[in-house]
Amino acid sequence: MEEHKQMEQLEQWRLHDQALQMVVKKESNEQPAHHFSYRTMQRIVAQEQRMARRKKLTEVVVLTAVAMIAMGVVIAFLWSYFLDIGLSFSRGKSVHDAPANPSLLVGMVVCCCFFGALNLFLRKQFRL
Amino acid sequence: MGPDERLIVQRILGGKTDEYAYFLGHVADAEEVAQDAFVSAYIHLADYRTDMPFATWVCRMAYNKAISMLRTRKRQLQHVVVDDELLEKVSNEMVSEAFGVPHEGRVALLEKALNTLNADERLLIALFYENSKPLREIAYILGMNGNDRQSVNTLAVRIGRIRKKLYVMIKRMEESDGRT
Repeated sequence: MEEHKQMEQLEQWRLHDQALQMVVKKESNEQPAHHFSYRTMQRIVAQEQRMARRKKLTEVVVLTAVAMIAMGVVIAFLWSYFLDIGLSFSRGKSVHDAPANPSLLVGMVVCCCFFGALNLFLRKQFRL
Repeated sequence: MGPDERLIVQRILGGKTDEYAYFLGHVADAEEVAQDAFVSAYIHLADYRTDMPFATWVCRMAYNKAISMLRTRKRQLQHVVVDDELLEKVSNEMVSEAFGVPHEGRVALLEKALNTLNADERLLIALFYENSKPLREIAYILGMNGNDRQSVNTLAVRIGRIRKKLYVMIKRMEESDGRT
């Protein structure tokens, strides 16, 4: 009830304070300069271009970091096998004579999955 | 050109080109704030999930930008403080009677009195009288919770106090005019 009365009083003020209303309208009657909308849109376009550039740069940095980490992991994972192959070659043996390493299969699967997913992501991202 | 302005001109000529904004006045500042608000609204458009109209949402951004601009430029509008006791003595009817019919002399005094309000008070009066915005939208623009009844009541009380303050200022000016 009290609130309703207060709101009613405010509406009365808004309707009847003609002098105050006139002064307020006169005070804030300044129009924006010519081409305000055009200049604002120019700023928005420039801002959007800046944001797009920043986004692209972030993506490139993140993708490079992820690819480098993934390659590092793959190399570390298969290092012992590469070493075995190298030693076999140095002793004049063929690859088939190298000791069997079960990590090879797992490593190759992980590697193929990762680079397959990266390929799909990049194609989608750059619309290739 | 007053002595302050001469000093400003000397500083501009001395290389402080930023100070040229002084001569552009508040219109240039207002435009800068308005543009910043629109750009900011565009950037955060995905966050617009409020029940308020778009214009009110942009107004809130403009208000925040204006406040931070005033802070960074350390610019303060000079405002007059009126005692609470004095405001208590003024009734709403007295104020309504004074602000009802726009006489030429009264309008001129009101213009001067409006300039004695601080930035928040002026904005509140402009939003209430010129834009005729609902109180919940005004509360939202000023950073309060527009859906909270307490905030809306606080604003209603503040508007009443600003009216009384304007009335007191007008009376003071009339008295000093009468004396001179």
